[in-house]
Amino acid sequence: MPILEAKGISFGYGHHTPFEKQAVRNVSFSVEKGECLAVIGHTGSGKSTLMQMLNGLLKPEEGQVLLNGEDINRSKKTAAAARFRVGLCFQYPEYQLFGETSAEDIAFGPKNMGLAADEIRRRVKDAASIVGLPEEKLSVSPFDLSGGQKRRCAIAGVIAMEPEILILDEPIAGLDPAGREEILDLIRRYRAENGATVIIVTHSMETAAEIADRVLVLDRGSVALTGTPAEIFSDPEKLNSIGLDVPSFTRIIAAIRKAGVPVEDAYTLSAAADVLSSLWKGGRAT
Amino acid sequence: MIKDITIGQFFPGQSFIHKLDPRAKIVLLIVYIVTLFLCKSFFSLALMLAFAITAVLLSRVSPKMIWKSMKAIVILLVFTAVLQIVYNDKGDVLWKPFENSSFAVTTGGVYAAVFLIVRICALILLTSLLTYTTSATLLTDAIEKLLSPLKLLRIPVHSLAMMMTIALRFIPTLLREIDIIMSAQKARGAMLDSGGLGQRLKALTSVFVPLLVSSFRRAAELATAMECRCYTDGANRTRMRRMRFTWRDLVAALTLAAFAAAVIFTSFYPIAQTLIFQPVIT
Repeated sequence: MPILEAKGISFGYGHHTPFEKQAVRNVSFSVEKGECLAVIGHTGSGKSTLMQMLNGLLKPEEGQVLLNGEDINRSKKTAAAARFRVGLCFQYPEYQLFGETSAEDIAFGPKNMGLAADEIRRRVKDAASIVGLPEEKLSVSPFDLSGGQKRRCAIAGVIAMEPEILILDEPIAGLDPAGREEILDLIRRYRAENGATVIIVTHSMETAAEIADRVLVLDRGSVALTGTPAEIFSDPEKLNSIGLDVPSFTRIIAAIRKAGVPVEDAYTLSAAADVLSSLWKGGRAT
Repeated sequence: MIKDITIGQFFPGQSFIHKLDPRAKIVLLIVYIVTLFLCKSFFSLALMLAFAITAVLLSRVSPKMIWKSMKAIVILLVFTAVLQIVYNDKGDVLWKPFENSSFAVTTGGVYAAVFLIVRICALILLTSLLTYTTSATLLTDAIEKLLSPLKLLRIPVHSLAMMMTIALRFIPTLLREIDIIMSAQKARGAMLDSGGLGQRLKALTSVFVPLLVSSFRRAAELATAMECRCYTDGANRTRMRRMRFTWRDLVAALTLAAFAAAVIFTSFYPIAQTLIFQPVIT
């Protein structure tokens, strides 16, 4: 049984006003335990709205969200409980920091869960170490952290709830390459250590290819494609038709093959590097 | 719940009301409000209400939106109505809780309550119609124009208008921001929509601190962006869109003038009052 399943869910904003918009239309998909799913799509393709339905913040107008086979919107209580079981970290989470110290901010979620003080302390420490926030930074105001640290502190605030599923909405948006790599490392570490289920919303194809087991492509509120990164990125034409593109390195390898050199497709940066380096060595040998 | 706030929102359209000159709209609204407070009989009040309803119908703004703006003042209406009924002891006694009680519901109280409710409704109806049918930029342009004589008194009218434009412009932005921050904190279990009053108030810090921080950030960014585009304080600035009075404004003004004349006539001339209508407030 999948850990999380969306069954034909829809949601719209501003009904009966001139600004009416159907954000999500009849979307179905499932996530298996321990899996990493990347949700990609344009700005305004309904990604964020979809994510808010998965943790019970928004109630789908149609369809159901099943967590371990049970509808999270059975009652108000289960919908509220789903917020702790499906941890959602919003876009630019550093703009939501407010605590006097980083530790206090990270403890906000666990505190709201009504945990004991000891348990909260343990979770804050664990979460900080998962995201790689140095311990001495825990007693500092979150507004005095660097940009990348702020983001990691905010992510720690969600991880500290120890949710069954972690959803990260555009976790690397607006970061420099080093900060980006730190966040991706953090996600890999978190998955490796906890066998955690993770959903990542992104519009970066490279990130999706790099980190996801499976990819879900949204287009104007509907599911356009699903599959493994290899399946999705082996068909550039289909992606192009909805205004998206394959990762840059996949495009380079494809161009080399088109030029008449037989190489295998590459869907991660390291795989692409391997292909290129073997080509380089091979070229020298002959 | 944040999304339910419609005050200050603008609904684009091409109706007669939308096309009125914003300056005319503001002046006519002021005249309307003054007339509304000159009303002394139910007949004159009904006239003014009819004027407001006609304007709303002409604007083609969806009645649901109008209803939303009215919903916000229901508590105020109930409160004023109760006060009137309790404290007004003019007219005939309708009901007494017990014999010889000093408190009584009187016809005067009920009349005054109904009168006030209708008056406030008409007021809100037309005032919200102004913001529904006029974009924030046009509105502040119009206010700047109307206040421009104050420049002679060295009042920085342009700066005030610019401040108003910016403030109005940021209402929806900040509302959206609040919405996002609230959702984010709710995702961490903040009791913003559940729990007792104490818990809710405590949870609100988690919304207001980030909101304050981001407002300051936005203000600083906006100031820099404006300086980069060489914004100076008002001197010799011209407008992209120039406002012109048209036949529509004349029609609207004449109609309101006719209504106002009728109100003044029925309210202030004793003959008209005794002939046709009984005054309510004496």
